[in-house]
Order: sequence, then C-alpha cells, then structure tokens
Amino acid sequence: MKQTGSRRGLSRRQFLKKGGAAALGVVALPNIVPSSVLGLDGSVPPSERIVVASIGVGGQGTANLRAFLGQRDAQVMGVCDVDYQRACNARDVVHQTYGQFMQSGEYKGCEVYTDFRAVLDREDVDAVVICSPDHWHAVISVMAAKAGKDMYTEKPLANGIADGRRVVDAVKRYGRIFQTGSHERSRTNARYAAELVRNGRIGKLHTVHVNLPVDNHAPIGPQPVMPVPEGFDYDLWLGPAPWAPYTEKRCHFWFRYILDYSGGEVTDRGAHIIDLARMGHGTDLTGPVEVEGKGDFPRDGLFNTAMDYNFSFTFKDGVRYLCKQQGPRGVKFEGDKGWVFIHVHGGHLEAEPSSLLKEIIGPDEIHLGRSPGHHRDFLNNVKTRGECFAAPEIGHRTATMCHLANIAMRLERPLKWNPDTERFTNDDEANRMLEVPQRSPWRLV
Amino acid sequence: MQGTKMIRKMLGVLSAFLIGVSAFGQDASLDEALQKIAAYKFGDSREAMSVVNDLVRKADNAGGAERKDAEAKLLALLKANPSPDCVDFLCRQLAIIGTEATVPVLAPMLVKDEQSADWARYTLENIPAKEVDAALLDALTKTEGRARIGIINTLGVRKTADAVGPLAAMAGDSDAAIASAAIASLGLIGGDDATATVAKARAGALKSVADDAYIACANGFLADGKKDKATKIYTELSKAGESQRVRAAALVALAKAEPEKTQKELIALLKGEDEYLRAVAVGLLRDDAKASAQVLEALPGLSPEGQVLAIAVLEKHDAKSALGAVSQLAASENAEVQLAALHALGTLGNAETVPMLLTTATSGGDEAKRVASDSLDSLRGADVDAKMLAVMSGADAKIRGELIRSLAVRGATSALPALMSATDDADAAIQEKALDALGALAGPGELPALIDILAKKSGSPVQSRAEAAVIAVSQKVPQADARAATVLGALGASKDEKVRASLTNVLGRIGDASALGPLRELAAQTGEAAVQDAAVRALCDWETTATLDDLRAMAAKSANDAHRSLAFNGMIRIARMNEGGPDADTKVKVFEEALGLAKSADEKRLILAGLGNLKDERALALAKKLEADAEVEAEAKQAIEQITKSIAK
Repeated sequence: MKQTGSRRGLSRRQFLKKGGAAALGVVALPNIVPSSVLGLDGSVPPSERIVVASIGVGGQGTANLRAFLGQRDAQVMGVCDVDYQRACNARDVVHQTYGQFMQSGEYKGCEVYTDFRAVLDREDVDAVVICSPDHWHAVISVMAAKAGKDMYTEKPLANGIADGRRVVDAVKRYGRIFQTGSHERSRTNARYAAELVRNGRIGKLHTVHVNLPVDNHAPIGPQPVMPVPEGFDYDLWLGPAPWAPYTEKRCHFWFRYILDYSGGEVTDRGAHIIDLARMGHGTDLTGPVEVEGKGDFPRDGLFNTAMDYNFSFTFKDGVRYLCKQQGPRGVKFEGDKGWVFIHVHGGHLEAEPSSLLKEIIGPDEIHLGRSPGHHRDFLNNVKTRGECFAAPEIGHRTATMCHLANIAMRLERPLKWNPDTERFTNDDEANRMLEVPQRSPWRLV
Repeated sequence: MQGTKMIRKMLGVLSAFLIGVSAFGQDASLDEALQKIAAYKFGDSREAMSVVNDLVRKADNAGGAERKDAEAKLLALLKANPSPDCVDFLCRQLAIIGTEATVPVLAPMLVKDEQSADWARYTLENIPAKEVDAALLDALTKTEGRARIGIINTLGVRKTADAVGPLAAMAGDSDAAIASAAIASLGLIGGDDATATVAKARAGALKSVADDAYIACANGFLADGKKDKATKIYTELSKAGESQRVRAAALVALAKAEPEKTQKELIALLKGEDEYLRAVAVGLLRDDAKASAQVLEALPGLSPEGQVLAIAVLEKHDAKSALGAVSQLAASENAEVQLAALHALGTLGNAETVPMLLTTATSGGDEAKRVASDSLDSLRGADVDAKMLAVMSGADAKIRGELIRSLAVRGATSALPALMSATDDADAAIQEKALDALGALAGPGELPALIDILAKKSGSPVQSRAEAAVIAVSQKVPQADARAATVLGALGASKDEKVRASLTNVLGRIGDASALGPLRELAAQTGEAAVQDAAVRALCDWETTATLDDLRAMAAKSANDAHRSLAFNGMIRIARMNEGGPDADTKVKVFEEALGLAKSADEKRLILAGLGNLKDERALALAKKLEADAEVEAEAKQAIEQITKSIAK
C-alpha cells in the first residue's frame, strides 16, 4: 500500500525530537558517523529520517551514495540506474553498510530501479540524488520538482542554458530544496579565500585565472557500432539526447567528452573552478557581459568536446576571467595588492604575499558562512527549508558560464551576453544554442 | 532486389547532386568537403565533417551572402538523399545557420519517420521564422506516436498560438502520451482558450499533468500583465482539496504575485499541522523580509518545531526587532529551541547580548556551549569588542579565557593591550590563551613587544607558546625576505643565552632564508651550547632543501653524536621530499652517502624507507646492497619489491 502525502511529510519534517540541531546547521557532523548514532540502530526513528533515493550510481553517483549513507538522519531506500548491474552493485553497498548496524546483520530495504520515473512515483521518497549523465540533469530535476522531491543534483546543473533556467524555475515553483553538486564550494579553505577577495585583502580584484587542465585528452578514433549490453537500457540512457548508435565509449564515464551529453572539461571541472571564481568575485547571482575563446575540438573520432582551449569572460565591473587548459588545477584571484590561489581539488591555498593567509575576517566584514559538508548542508536545508550553499540559481549561473564558453568557441566569435535576460545581445544564432531540443517524447515542462 | 533498386536510385540522386554542386562552384572547397560526407556513417572518419564544419563556420562568421550560400549547399546535399548519419550532421549545421529557406526542405522529414522527424525538429525548433510554425502544424495531424509527440512538444516550446485549436483537440486523445503532451504544450502557450482546455482536463484522468499546465497558464497570464487572471487560478489551486504539491506551487506563485495578501496564509500554515505545506511556507517566509513582524508575533504561540523554523526565518531576515523574543528563547527548556535561538543571536545580537552568550558558552551543555561561542564570534557592531573587554576585567578565569579566544577569532585588534597584559595573568592557562590570541591578532608592528614577552617567558612553561606567537606574527611581514629581521635584531642585542636560544628556535621556523647565514654561524660556534643546539636543530628542520649540504657535512663530520644523528635524519628527510625536493640524481646521491654514514640499523631502515619510494635503477642497486645485512634484510626486500614494481609500471 502506498503511503499518503501526509505520512511522507512526517518522515522528513518531524525532525525536532532528534537531529534538529544538525538541521539548523549548528552541528557539523563528521562525514562518517559511528554506528551508535546511525539512524538504523533506532536512535533516529523511521518517521524522522529523510528517505533518499539515488538516481545514477556510477562513479560519482556511488560517491554521493556513500556520503548519504554516512548521515544518521538519511536512509537510502532506492537506487536507480539504466545499467541494471550498476544499480545492483549500489544496492549491495547500501545493504552492506546498513547491514552492519542491524541486529540480524542483514538489511534488505533498498530497492533497485532502472527507470527513474518509478523512483519519483514513490511517495515515501523525500529526496533524490541525481547523478545521471549531464543531458539528463534538467529533465529529471524538473520532474522531481513536480513530484515534490528535494534534490541533490550533480554539476553542471544542466546541459543547456535554457534548460538550467527551467530547473531553477521548477524548483522555485514547487517549493523544493536543491543542492548543486559543486562540492568544492563547501570547502572551508575555498570559502575563506573567497572572503579574502570579497573583503579587499588582495586590493581591487581585476583578473581571475581559471586553470582547467584536461586529464583524459588522448584522442580516440572512430568507434564501431556495438550491440547494447544485456541489462543496459540504452534508449533510456539516451533519453532526451538525439538518437545515436550504441558504442561502449559513448556511455558511462566517457559521456562527458561528447557534446550531446555534456560539455567536456569546460562543464565538468569547469563547474567547480568557475564556480569558485564566481564565489570569490561575488557574482553568484549574475554573469559576464562578454565571452570569447578558441577551442581545439577533436576533428575525428567519437569525442567532440574541446580538449584544449583558451577562453575569457568580461564582467560589467571590468573584471576578466582568463581560462586555460594548462596550469595547476584551480583558480587565482589577482588584485592590485596581491593574489590568492585555490587548488582544486583539496582546497590548498597559496597567496602573495603569503601573509594574506593569516588574515582574520572580522564579524562586520563579508562572511560567506561555513559548510558542514556539501551533503550535510543539503540535508540540513531539507529540514529547515533554507537555501543550500550551491542553490539552484548559483548552480545555473555557473553552468551558464561553462556553456557560454563552449558556444563562443564553437561559433568561433566573441559574444555579448545579457545576464539579466540570459540572451546574447549581438548574435541571433548564438541564441539558438541556448535551447537544447529534446528527443521525443521527452520534454522539459 | 528491392534493396538494390533503392541503392541505385540513391546513387543516381547523389550523382546528380555532385554534378550540381560542382557546377555551383562559388566555394569549391565546401562543395568538395560536402561530397565527402554524403555517404558518411557512424564509425567512419569524421575528418571531412570537420572540414565542412570549419567552412560553414567561416561562412557563418562572414555573414550575408556567404552564410546564405552555405545554407543553400547544405540544403542541396540534404535534398540529394544522403546517408542518415549525414542527414543528422547537416541538420545540426542548419540548426545554427538555417533560415526560412530551410523549412520546405525539412518539412517532409517531419512526416517521414520518427527519426527524421526528430532531426527536423532539432533544426526547426530554434529557427525564428513563422514558416516553421506552419510546417509543424501541417505535420501535426499527419504523424502519430513519438513523431507527433515531438511536434506537439516543439509547438509548446515555440509557444505557437495557432496550435491551440489542434492541441485542444488532442488533449482528449485516447493515447495518454499524446494527450499529456498536448496539455503540457497548451500550458506553455497559454491564453484564454488554452487555459479553458487545460482547466477542463483537470477533471479528467490526466489531472496531474493538467494541474502543472494550469499553473503554467497562470504564469503566462502573470508574465503578460494579466495579474487578475493569474491570481484567480493560483487561488483556486491553493484551496484545500488540491494535492499538496499543487497547493505548494500555487502558494509560491501567490507569494510572488500578492506578497502582502499571502503572508497571512503563510503564517497560518506555519502554525498549522500540515508538515508539507508548513515547509513550503517557511521557505517563502524566509524570502520575504517584510514578513518579520508577523513571524515575530506568531513566535510565542508556535509549537517548538514551529519556533525553531520561525527563529531561522527571523535570523535570515536579520530582524533586530526579534532580539528580545529570541533572547528569551535562548533560555528555553526545549534544547532545540534553545540552540536555534543561541544560533540566531549571533546574527541578531549586539553588545548587550555578550554577557548572556558568555554565560552559556562557559557553563551550558556541550552543544549550547559551542553554539554560544560561535555566536559570540559572530556578533556585529562597533561596541561589541569594547563590551567584551569591559567584561574581561574582573571576570573569572573561565570567562576571561572564553573572551580571549573570541576576541582573537573576531580579529579585535583593540584587544592587543589587554592581551599583552594577560600574558602576565596569574593563571598559566590564561597566559597560554593570550599568547595564542596574540599570535593570531598581532601584526608586525607588535613584534618588538612580543619579543620582549618571549624574553620574559624564556625558560617558563609557556615559552613554546610565546615562540609560536612570535613565529606567527613574523610570518605576517609581507616581504618574505624581511620576516626574520626583527628577530635577528633582537638576537644580536640579547646577551642572555636562554633568550638567544629561544630566538634561534624561532628563527629556524619563520622560514625566511635570510636567517640561514646567522644560523650557520651559530651552529658552528661553541661558546653558547644552548644556542648552538638550537641552531643545529633549526638547520636540520629547515623546510626547504637549502640546508642539505650543511646537513651532509654535519652528518659526516660532527663530533657531537646528537647533532650528527639530527643531521643524518635531516638529510634523509630532505631526500624523501616530493614537492620542492631535490632532483632524482641528488636523492640517489644523498642516500648513497647516507649509507656510508649510517651507524645503526635504524638509520639503515630510514634509508631503505626512502629508497623504496624511488623509481630508479640506482636506488634498486643500493637497496640490494643492504639485502645481505641480516639486521635490515626484511626492509631491504620490501624496498627492492617497491622499487621493482615502480620501475615496471
């Protein structure tokens, strides 16, 4: 028998008897909690847990899954992947993790799905973790919002600019909580570095260097058509993307190097590094006014995202972002009195002068807050209905910049952008690239 | 047989195309490139397509006639019945540069088959020409299944007003997928007629889809300035009886359209039992700073759960008027309410909040202590630091300690004199806290005073804390090569060996290379044993490779066993450094040298541990030398295995 909406509400919101402190963001829980405080030992009654389901459980999806398994007030009750074996593997991870804390030593409460719509139909699921390939992010997020689910959606928020705006609108429209998976934003060091910049410790900011090296840029040649592996729902994997014959390197990890599904390194780690750049610059809710760049797109083979590139953005305040494929991965804020560099991943900081890193940010200065961890922050806000550190507008604006860079490089010309209307002001053809038409029958409404 | 005929026919059409394009002639290279892709199929080389892409981009960037010409050539190939994968490619190019001229060529594709219909839609959907709408409408009734659904969706995205009639007819289609798509697209197109159809559909089997479309219709009215029509729909959908998610959406919309009117309902929901809608209401109240007064008014009567949420709302609004009420709740018997209030006081509080937070931070429960401390650190206002300092004089040790900690976190430089004085506090724990705080707060200008304090603390239990403070503040000197200057000056001026030893310790840890010369001299002298010892240790612990040669010499020649051992360990540490370490040749050389200097099995083990991390044949040879040494045989074998594996990779 299906549970009622009211029952579902109870499960996620009657949290105050236990765990309410964490809900306020006032308790920074460790990532791995001891068994004694895991909800499954009875300390957090089922009615007070947030029921989570993971959609897309590949590499990053499983990392997210493990992160939620370590939260005492979340219970993962469903895993979904178009690759049935992957879904089963993820279910086993859930069962093994929870099984340790059951008296019987066994846990069998996690269901396997291969179609995300079945997950969204579950009324007892409060929140979904969307870690599909990028081309699915928007459709699943919009459908999840309509279904009343809160969402932790991997970055980039969407694979198109108009799609991203629709996600933001849907989240707002249905009163949902949304965390973009740009977890670098939750690092204490990154937030501190951003505060240094925002509070003028490097003087007047004039340039932001975004170093975005590509790890896997060995070219691959044309690929053969292959039979679809058993247990893999390829049509559903393609979903809203144009139909294309199956070949192994189209799917799973490699999707990120094919424009129909992603935007290459520019949208992949770009969604981390450009995100940090915007956080330090204080442009979380807006965007640049100009973009230009040159990309080296593979001329043959399956992959077609830019593997080498130089692109730049100019903002209304004159600040420029200079983005390149070389250098240590990270972002460097350059002002007229010094600079600070955030290394991604890891959050190690460098500065010139290095004494900048001993600066204290006083209470009357700009504070960006400290995250208890990206996943924890999401759960806290599911409970208090607050705004996550990577709220949808922030995730969308970051993804937008990544897409702007790709559009400018693909069109091979400088473009002017209006961040308020989210349209190009000097290029009708570029405006056509804002919308990504959906393969029938999928739609984004 | 049929297949052969078909292939012949296709080849015929293609040949005609190729003759045509070569005669077309204005841009032979694009023509040539297009010829090469006509038979492209997935798995072939894409090189020719890349050339076409380059040329189309070039024509596109030239604009005008060149762009039109490129479009014409792409269309010519499209009409010549190229391979399906070529069609896909051509459509992608036309999606960017296509004009109304593209429409008649693609229109037949809309009704050909599902795949062709999708390709055509991808191209047409974003072409801003009325001919596209006409073509889509024409195809609408000539298609079925997925092809029709795609066309319906595209009409919705394009907001094709002329589609309302045909879509309204399809909203009742027996195929639920088609009916759903039609209803959704009607919602996007909006207007009175579409809205009427959608409203009717809400009574049918597709209510959920129709509900969403109805909201979309209302949003469309609002965007067009027809607020009355919009709010009528939102109000209808916000009533009890509708599903929670639909009521939530209606509430969100009403809060935007009529914020003042909606506040009352949101407050009612905050007080109510419906958890789902209360959550949505809280989210909306957080976004509406004008709601503070009503939230504050409701606060005392709310359940503890409601109070926690309401306090967070007031905190988000930075509602100073709520300070009194929130301060009272900071003493609530309900732990969750108390924590929420304490947390909010960090935002809402002021200087007068200091005593209460201090009391909780020093004598509350564990969580309350921590939250109160955080809030003390966050209190804003020019007079907060002064209040803290005023409270500090005469307060007990627990309070003084908490204040010192918080003043440091707050960056309260006005506290420096008080902190300097606190280094003489009778309580050693307060002295330590004061020294830690000075390390965090003081600037280079305070270095002479801090060095005086260090001199006083030399030989005391807090010496190391005083040294740490001087190091931290020295490192704040912006010029990296001037950081040791003040300490070097003090070292030269001091006659007290204990103080000079302490300052030598400090020199070694500031990390300024200008200290190396003096440190070498101090390590070489023998008149002050304590100073010499400190200098040797400073060289041995130096963070970069700059002291490697000093250590090699010391390890080989020092008559002092302790110093020799320190130097030996130091050279191995440097040889094992990855980031900023020596090059591979130097590393091997150092290990080889160390092998000759090692005086114990432990020292040999250190060498082997270092060798094991190298990927170098010479390192392997060194490790093999030690294999025969019974004392370290096991470690040698392990190192050999590690190096061999690395080399094999």
